[in-house]
Amino acid sequence: MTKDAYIAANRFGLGASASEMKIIDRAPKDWLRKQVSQSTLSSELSNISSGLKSTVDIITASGDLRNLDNDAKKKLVKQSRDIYLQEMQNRVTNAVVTDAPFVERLALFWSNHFTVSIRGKPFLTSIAGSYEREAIRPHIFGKFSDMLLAVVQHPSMLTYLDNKSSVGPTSKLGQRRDKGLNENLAREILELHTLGVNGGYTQDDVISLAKIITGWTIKPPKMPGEAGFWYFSRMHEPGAHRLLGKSYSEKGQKQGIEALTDLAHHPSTARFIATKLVRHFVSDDPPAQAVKAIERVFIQSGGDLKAVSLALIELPQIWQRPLTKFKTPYEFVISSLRLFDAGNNDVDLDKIIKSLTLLDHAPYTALSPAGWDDSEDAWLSPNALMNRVEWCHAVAQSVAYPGNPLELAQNTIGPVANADTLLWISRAPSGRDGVGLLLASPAFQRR
Amino acid sequence: MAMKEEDIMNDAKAGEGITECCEGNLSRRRFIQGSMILATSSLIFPGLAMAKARTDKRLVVVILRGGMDGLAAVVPFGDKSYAALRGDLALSPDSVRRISEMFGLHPVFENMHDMYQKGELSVVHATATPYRQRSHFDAQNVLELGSKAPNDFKDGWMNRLVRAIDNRDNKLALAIGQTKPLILRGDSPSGSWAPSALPDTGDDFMELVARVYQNDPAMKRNFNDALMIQDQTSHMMEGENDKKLARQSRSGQGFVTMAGIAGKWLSEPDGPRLATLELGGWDTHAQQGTEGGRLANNLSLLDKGMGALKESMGAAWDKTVVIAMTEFGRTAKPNGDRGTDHGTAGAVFLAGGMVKGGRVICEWPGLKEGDLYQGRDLNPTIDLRSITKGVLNDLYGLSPSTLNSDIYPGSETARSMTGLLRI
Repeated sequence: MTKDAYIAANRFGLGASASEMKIIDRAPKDWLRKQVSQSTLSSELSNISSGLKSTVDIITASGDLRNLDNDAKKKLVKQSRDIYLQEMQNRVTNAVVTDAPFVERLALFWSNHFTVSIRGKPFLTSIAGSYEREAIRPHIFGKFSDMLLAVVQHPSMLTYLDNKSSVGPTSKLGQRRDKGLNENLAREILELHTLGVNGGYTQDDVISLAKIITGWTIKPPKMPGEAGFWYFSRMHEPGAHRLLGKSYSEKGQKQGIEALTDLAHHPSTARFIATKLVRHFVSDDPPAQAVKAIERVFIQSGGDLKAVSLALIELPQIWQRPLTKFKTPYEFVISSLRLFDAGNNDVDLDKIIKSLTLLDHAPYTALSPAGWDDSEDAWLSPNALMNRVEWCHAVAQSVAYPGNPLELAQNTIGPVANADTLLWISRAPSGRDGVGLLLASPAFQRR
Repeated sequence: MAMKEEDIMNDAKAGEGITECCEGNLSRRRFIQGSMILATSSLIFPGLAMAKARTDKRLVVVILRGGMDGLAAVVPFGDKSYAALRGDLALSPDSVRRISEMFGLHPVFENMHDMYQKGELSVVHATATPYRQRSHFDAQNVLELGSKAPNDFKDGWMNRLVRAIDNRDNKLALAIGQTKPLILRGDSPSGSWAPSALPDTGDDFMELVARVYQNDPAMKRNFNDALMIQDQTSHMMEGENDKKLARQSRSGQGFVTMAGIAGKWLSEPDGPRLATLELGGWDTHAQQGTEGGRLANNLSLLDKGMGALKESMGAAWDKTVVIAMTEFGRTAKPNGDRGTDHGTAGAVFLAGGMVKGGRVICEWPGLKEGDLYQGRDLNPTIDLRSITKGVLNDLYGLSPSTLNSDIYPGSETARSMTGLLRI
């Protein structure tokens, strides 16, 4: 077992069982590259029993929310909740069984980068999962600009950051009614999705971008045609708008597509995305050289995320110092299940969802549009660590007995675990306590 | 990896002191326990030899994340421009809880109005941190670091306050919540607590874990703090149903539950003296409502939490200051969506028996078009650090020069306010 195998499985992936580690150990980098080149969308993810797979289906089935009586409302809330649970279960199952955990890590990264959260937005409960499947996953190895456009035109994002009701003040609708701009989405596109807070934009740019994307909304149920994203010209603020020194002439929806495409290719965006990726895969303090390397690939490839993902594999900084990152609760829970080689039928999904809630990392529940924090400081507190330790102990008591804990440790975290960890795992009063200790150990809690 | 024989020998020696009195063959398990107790107890209770008398003053900081609309929380109905400026979002002078000719508290502020009338609550209005951009995340960073600009410091201002009060007292500061907020992070000790729905884990396992964390400084420190908090709080949690509390703390009314627990612990003689609470949901970009609605619901949650805190603190309330603050206010004018966008100045609440309350403290900037910051926000006239400095000065006797050098470096222009507390 080599350190490189540990790094491929954990720093890029979501952990591995002892038998999978043996496979990875043959050629760790090839194992990663293959995931990028052979990536397909997993069938686990769209296994929805209600048949409501797409956002369009779900919104259509919900009907006109304004005309619901109490019974219908209750039914809809329950249906939304059911869809949400099933989406979570599919996502968790896929993460546990996938042979391409690097792809899954990238999906988690991008989904977090373009966060939508159901907190305070009950309408999103049913369409947070489909958002990730439709706007994020298809573009993980595509163009960043395409992902950005898919995100900003998705009903979930238009709802989450309020753009669906933003009206151009001098648009037809704006003149007729007392309605106006909502700058929420425009600000977060600039601050969180593209340039970054120090990326060189002003409040005037926020307002311009808000005007440019007025009319990007969701089709009201009364209007004919397919549900979902809808460009409504009567809401759109007419005229040319100046963004970052460039004037975008009136072209309807195309005005927004042009502006967003330019933002996606802006040098500040390349820097911002590279910094976040390196922080995620290398360390909380992203090394400047690694950031530069990724930034260069991002710029030279025109934001080709396949090239960027492959460049991550080649970063020497990832391979040099393992255990610099403290796993998020989601990564930790998933990697625990992968350690035990849990198959489709071995995972008690209810319990896992409850665990993720207990550890404060249930999918699509981030506290803000900035998404989950990607630093040890945010996840490692006395209370959070104690929760994890208790969880490790409880899980070790309940899993099918996985054999000699020392052997399991040696074959999974062996290359990076310190002598103390292995010593005390071997001395644990029971095999189950040994397994619990393995899960709680620094070499397993970190990556 | 081979196990090291000398490690085992060292452990045997560490256990000698406790095990030598035992007779016969020592089981391996007993042996481990003996050595573990010795090895971990000195780590878990480093403050046992603490000689200094603890402060009996309590400081609770409530961080309102998302940007609370100060003009809705504390309504300047007496400003002639108010009604026209706020349009759909204006509250009528009859609906607010009037506290002066100029200001009224939001109608849902039942407990806080009561505190105000009893002289236990002040409002400082038209205040902001020095941050003048409109990012939540940078603004919260500045609020919690107590800095001029984002990322100026590594540690939060309450962490530096712990150092100024007693750096060896690792029971001094406690974050009530799932995570520790930036305001408490840094080199000085502090804990974090939230009710756990997970089954209790035996001491044996905890001791093994403590062993395994010896070579990971960050995990070791957080784990020891957690054990210490468990030890400290175990008798306070007696008779409480942890699982039920855990469920309540995650419900819509979770803040009220957490505030109640915070108060209980703060009232204990050996409980924490500094605590943080957090309440989100203030980012009201759309349909925020007036007397009722989304914002009113959140304000009500704050009010009930403040009430629960006071009630559970009992007599300790008299020694307490609560600061409820947010990263920025919101636009003075409604946006096109009957909501408000990110703004600048807002309101801060000071509550507790130590507060010289029943006052709205402000240099009111006015709400006329020309009075507004960048033509859109309430203009900040008081630096938020002037308020917290004033509180720390009165509460702990920290001099302005100490505050400028140790707690809020670079804040000389934000002069400490005086007379905020009863001393």
